[in-house]
Amino acid sequence: MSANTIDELMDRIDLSISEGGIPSKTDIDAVIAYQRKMRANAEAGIKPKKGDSGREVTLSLEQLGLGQEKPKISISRRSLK
Amino acid sequence: MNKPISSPSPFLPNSLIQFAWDSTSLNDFKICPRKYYYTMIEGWQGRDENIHLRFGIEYHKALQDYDMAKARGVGHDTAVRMAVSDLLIRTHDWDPDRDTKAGKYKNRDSLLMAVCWYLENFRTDPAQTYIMADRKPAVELSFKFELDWGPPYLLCGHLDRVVLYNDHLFVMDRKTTTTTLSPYYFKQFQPNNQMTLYAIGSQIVIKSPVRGVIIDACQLMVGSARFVREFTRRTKDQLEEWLVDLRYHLAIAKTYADQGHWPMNDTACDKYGGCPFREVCSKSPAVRKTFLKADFVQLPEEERWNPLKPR
Repeated sequence: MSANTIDELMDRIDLSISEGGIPSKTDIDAVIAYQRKMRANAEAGIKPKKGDSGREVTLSLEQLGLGQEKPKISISRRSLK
Repeated sequence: MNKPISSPSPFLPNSLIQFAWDSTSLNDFKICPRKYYYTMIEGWQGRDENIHLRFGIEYHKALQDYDMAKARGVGHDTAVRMAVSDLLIRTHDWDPDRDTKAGKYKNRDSLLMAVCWYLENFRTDPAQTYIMADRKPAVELSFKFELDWGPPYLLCGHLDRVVLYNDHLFVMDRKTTTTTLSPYYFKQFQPNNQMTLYAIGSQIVIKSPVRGVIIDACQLMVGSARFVREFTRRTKDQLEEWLVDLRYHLAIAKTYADQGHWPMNDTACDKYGGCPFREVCSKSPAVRKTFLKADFVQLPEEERWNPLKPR
């Protein structure tokens, strides 16, 4: 599970709590599984990748629905006289 | 966090003589009477202190929830799920400032990590929760007992858990730290005010001899945690000696309270990672209040540290 996925999972859990509900069993099990994996990696000497250490939220304009098309580069050649 | 419950004052009426003592207040008093005055009498608390306190409370509560579930016969995975789910609900709104040193290491994510990793680390733990004579598991036990000398004095405390380990009873105490877990770290627990008081208090609650304290220490690092378990034992003679010494300490505490002056122990300022009040004490007496107000918050009486506050 990537840092982004755990962020999404935690966001989903927090949303259900803020709406007065309780987190689903599946979501909690996924969080625990992620933590176990992180611990196993640490035991094996695998250092966390950047973004795994904290919940660094990576956002892009596309994710926010604000994506813009890349400007097209047009090359016009002047005709040589 | 729940609204604080008002508790009776730990001080004798119309005086600053503390009659209800726990390891925290006694620790402060033994280290430096001035430090004790600032924290216990005046209620000053460092701005980062809240983060440490909340982290500690939630860490202990989650592990206690797990222990209680296990003692009821719930399986490991289900007990972990219950503890983690409740932890996330309780800490839903907790978002300490990660730009502070405290918040960098102690925040909701590192709390979740510490709890999950601890429960995985000690998944097959030979230390089993002791079931008391009334069939209740010995988890998060409070003790309070009166000393046989006065002015009436109460010794109070909260034990994380009492366990059976190789057929012997031990108190289990869980610590979190950012310090490296070396033999040097564990040396601080022998002799140690808190651990000796716990060894005494546990025998009052359990009504059986307790060998000492098991310290389950968690070293918090950014994105990682490690755990080390050590034992600290106490003999009956050591416990008795501590109680004799206590009589002298409390007599001195009463003298300071009677005279309204708590002297500074200027040999302790750099001990234990440095006293939080060091900067304040280094200023001229006339301007200390200004510096206190700048770096600390004065808690209202009901929120101050109180050994009589139930958990």
